[in-house]
Amino acid sequence: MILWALAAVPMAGALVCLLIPRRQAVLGWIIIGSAIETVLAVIAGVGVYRVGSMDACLGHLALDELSAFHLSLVTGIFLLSSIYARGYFNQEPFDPTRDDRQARKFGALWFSFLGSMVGVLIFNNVGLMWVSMESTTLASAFLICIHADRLSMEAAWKYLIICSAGIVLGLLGTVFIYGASVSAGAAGEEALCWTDLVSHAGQMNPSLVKIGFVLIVVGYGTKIGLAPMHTWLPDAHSQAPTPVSAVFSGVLLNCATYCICRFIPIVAASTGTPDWGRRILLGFGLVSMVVAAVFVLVQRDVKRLLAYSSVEHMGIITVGLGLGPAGYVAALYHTLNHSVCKTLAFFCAGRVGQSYGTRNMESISGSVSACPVWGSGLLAAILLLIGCAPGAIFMSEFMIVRAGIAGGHLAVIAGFLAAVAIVFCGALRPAIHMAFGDTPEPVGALRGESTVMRGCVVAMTAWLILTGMWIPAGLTAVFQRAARLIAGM
Amino acid sequence: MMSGEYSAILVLVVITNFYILNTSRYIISARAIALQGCLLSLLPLPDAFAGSPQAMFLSAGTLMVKGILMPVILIRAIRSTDEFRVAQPFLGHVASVLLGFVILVAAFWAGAAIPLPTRPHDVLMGAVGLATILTGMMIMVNRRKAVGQVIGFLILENGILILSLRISRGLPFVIEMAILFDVLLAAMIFGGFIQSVHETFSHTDVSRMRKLKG
Repeated sequence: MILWALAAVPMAGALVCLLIPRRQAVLGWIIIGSAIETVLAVIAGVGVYRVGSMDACLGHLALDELSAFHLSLVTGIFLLSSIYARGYFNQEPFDPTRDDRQARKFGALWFSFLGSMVGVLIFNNVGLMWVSMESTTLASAFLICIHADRLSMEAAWKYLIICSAGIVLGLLGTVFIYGASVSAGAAGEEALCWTDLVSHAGQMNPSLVKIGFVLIVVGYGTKIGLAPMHTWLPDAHSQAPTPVSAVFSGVLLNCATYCICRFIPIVAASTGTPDWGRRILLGFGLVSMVVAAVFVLVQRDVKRLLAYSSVEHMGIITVGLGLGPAGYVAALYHTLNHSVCKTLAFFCAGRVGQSYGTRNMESISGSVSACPVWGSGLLAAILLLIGCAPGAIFMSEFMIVRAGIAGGHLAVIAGFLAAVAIVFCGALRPAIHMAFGDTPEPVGALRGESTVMRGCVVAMTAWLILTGMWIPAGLTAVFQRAARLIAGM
Repeated sequence: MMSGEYSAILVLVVITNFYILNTSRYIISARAIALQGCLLSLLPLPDAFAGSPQAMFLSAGTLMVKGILMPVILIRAIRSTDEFRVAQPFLGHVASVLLGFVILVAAFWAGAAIPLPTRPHDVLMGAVGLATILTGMMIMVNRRKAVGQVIGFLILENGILILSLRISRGLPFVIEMAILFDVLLAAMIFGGFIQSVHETFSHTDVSRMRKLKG
């Protein structure tokens, strides 16, 4: 029942957006709609952790510990971004002449984007999961170029073409997995249901599964932003309006990671050894981290810097997934930390950028005194992102390193630490430059400041520092139970 | 339908691939895509005659989406931008056709290696599927205009359909239909995008969109 409601709210939200005449009302409605969805997701999540996984529609829709965790995260970040969008677009209107119409378009696409991401998480059938993942690309491409200028158009086209072509390889991988499932005696729709796939993975033809898994990692990896398929990511993140960048980085990438997580137990059971699939993940993760570390050093645009940092963190999560059960827990914890922290960073960077009228980090200085909340929020977010102690990201990276050493992957951990160190130095310099120093000219005042949003910034920062020092026992249980599903137990 | 006719359809698919590689007009490429879509819609027919209503629906859906709707959307997008010709692809026609042959040979070699062949024409089918996928990829990187990349994408998608028939006689019905719907949606978004790109840049030459780097 609640799964049906989760699927219906975004659809209804999108339709309502098309009927609302005024821009302000649209921006208000997206907050209400995503708040309803968040409440539903949290209720469903609590239910799953109390009673166990639930399903609906003859087992086509399902929610277990892993998807419930991601669902709560997706809707939560989405709600924060909706609140932020209101202030952001009041400062920087769409196109003044067609304002109301563009706001309606934005609202409808915003809800479709949410709906397709929720679809990825609640479909039990990996074929339908792929369909939803493909529709996230279609729904979000126009969100990048809502302002329709040349740069954002270029970014959106690149995003659309690269991600469509990439994700199609994910479909091909799914086809191979289906072939393997049929070879194990399954038939019809059940042959692609995740619960059935896991239960008879042991009898599948291993060579079909192996080909399929490589294609799936490349396909969904394009959407995650793993190097060398990451090229769309910095462009899309930097050119999109900031609320959209926040959602891209904070949750869209996680949804794609979630898709790969679903195939890890299948590969492990079918090949008979967990190491084969993990080695592929370790390789892609490390390459992404190194590539991101190199590119972080040469960035001038603050949103591009944050985008490359996303490539790095997705690499970290992938390395975590390649390290076995202890790594799965750490990777899930890192997913939560990265989402909260990157969203915070984009929020602050967007507002500071609006205030200075530029995103060039060399032109921004003294932001802590010029706009205290956003400037210090940006400084705090970047410090936390690069892994300063005591922060939640430091903790989860530490857990990954510990899992790696315990598993004997010393070379991987050496590369991991080197990449993290390079990013640390590369991002620290611009962060300090932006925060302190002389404020150049009179900085533009920000309109549409809301106390709620400022409160969110303070709360998110406090949460990240607090969970770095002390993880609530309930949260640890969430990660451990979700990790058990990835481990196929 | 006998397996001889089945093979004939697959060979015709390969011929349309080469035709698209060798033509310099986008409208003609779009018509060839329509022909390829119609050919694909014939592939589920043996199952349909064997008494599977789902295969019948699948065949009709493929004909509707890949044979009619998508080419129509594509042709409208091409007309709206007044850019009918392929403006110097990075590789010339002779080179692309030669590369097409290399792809075909490689696809036969790799297609034979796909595990578990069960039917007599399975090897040919795997090879044609792979060749179509690779040709689509090659067209995507070898065309300067936005339309050319979309054409490459659609061929890539067709190749995956063929390969999925080879590996597992097609995906389950519900999923196959969902994918068709998704592809149709993608074609509509691509079409809309080409028009927006044309309005913003007053051309659709993606190789000239190089502002975003690093």
